[in-house]
Amino acid sequence: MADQSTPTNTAYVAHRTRPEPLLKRMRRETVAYAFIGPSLALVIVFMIVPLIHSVWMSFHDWNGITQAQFIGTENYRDLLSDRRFAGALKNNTLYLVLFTTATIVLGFVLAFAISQRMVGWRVFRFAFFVPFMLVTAVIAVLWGQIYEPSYGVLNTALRSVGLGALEQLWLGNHRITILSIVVIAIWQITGFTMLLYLAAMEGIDQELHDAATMDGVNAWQRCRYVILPAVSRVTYVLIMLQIIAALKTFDLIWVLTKGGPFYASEVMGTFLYRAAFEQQKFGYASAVAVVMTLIVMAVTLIYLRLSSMSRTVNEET
Amino acid sequence: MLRRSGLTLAYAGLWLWALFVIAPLLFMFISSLKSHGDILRAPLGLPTSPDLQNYVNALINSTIGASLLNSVIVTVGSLSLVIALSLLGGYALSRFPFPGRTLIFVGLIALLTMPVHALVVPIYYFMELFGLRNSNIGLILLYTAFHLPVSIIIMRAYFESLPRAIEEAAMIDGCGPVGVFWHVAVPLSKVSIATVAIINMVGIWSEYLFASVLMTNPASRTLPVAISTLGTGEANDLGLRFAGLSIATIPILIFYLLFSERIMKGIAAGAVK
Repeated sequence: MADQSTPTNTAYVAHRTRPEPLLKRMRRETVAYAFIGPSLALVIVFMIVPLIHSVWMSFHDWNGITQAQFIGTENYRDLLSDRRFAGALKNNTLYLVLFTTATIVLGFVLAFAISQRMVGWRVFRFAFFVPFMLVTAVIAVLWGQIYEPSYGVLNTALRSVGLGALEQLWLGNHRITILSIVVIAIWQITGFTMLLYLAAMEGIDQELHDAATMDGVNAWQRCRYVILPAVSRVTYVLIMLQIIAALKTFDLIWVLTKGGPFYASEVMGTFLYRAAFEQQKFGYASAVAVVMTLIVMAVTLIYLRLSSMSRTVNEET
Repeated sequence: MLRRSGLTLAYAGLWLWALFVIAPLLFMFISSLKSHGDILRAPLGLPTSPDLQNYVNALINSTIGASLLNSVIVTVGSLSLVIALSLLGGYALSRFPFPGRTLIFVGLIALLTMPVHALVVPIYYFMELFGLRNSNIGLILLYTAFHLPVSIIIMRAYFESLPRAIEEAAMIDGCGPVGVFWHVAVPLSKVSIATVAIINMVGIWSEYLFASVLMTNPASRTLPVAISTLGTGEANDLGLRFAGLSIATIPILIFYLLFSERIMKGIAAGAVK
């Protein structure tokens, strides 16, 4: 380390003692701004300005057409007492817990099974990742046909094997709608978690495995004491990615149920969409957007904090 | 590594999940060869007289063909722009010290945590204001902006890992900064260009929310929006629906079949960064 840093330091000192000609520096900086400028312009126009606009408009009564009225924090107070929004938060939480747990556990188990390199492991890996590549709207329509109560595949199959008693209104029964939707999300995303785990498992030092074999550990112990600690970084990244994905979820639910029946599958995303484009309450929708952004950013920050803390602890021990 | 009984169990698990993953897709392709009546009568049955009539209907008598074209234009346009701009931006952040560089880099990282979905209201409003609704160009610029932060960060990380010796040699030979970028850095960036293309492609091709709000004119719809309403309402035809779903899926499957190794590697690398 020390050997490497010495020449850099000398170069730096030499650089300092003989200052760069002003013209050359200006030319280099012009090039730099020309390089980064177009990207900055796009990001400012399509992300920063809309963000500021959302925050500003969240304090207004606004229907998108007539002049906006400043109303202070009324939108936020309304939101706090809005039972439909509370329901949406509850659904987001349920979805988050089930989706994150299932995709991570299943992804790990499948990756472990594939990493045994049994005949056909490449085919399995290929197949498991297919749903992740598909268009979510396509998946929603397809599963809508599977869940359809009268001629849908699921109920028809249950009837034909004599399990007609288990028939359900998979999307129409408000008690299970969100569960039926989570199953689809798990179907779609588990291939992705599996892939990340598989990549991490392939990176584990073979010596670690050899040592474990010499100690005569069983498969469970190998997972628990060798593989799980070695892939912990992927677990952290995945938990964060899945939580954010669950908080942002929209396409699947909107195409399948529009948040129904009777708001049983409403989440923040569908709530925002409804407020803006069905009820023309643009100010109220902006308040939802601000709350949603704050929640997602807070979760991300807490998570980054926790994971960096635990990583330091791991490195110390 | 596992004992015999363990291996059997693992194998059974793999087959079970494979069945779960494949069955819906198989159902989709089989149903796309059936008529509307066939699907209602025997949802699980094989087609009585399989033909491609549904596909012909979908491509000729509906707007799916046009939507497919729109999606290709928007995806190719956005990806090209994202790649070009992230090469430039990532290179500037890695190679040129300039005032504001750290601020821009930290800002881009902060933007990664922002849920862009939440911006749908002001973006709808501004796009309407500037006449960019139902315009492929508007959608391309929007998607480009959304995917730039992550792409610039990946490109910057790549250039940081690239030794500067070659570029310095070119500079001594009298090449200016733009020349060095174009003749030296870009040709060395094939791997990172592929990574950026792969990790952004699925997201752009599948994007639904903004497309559904901005592209309301039937002729300017992208595939995800067109698919969500195909064969519903007045023209209720399940065969047509399944054919539309298959048309949206087949190009992806072919693409995935051709480049699966590279795609899986790119996604795994992009996600952990």
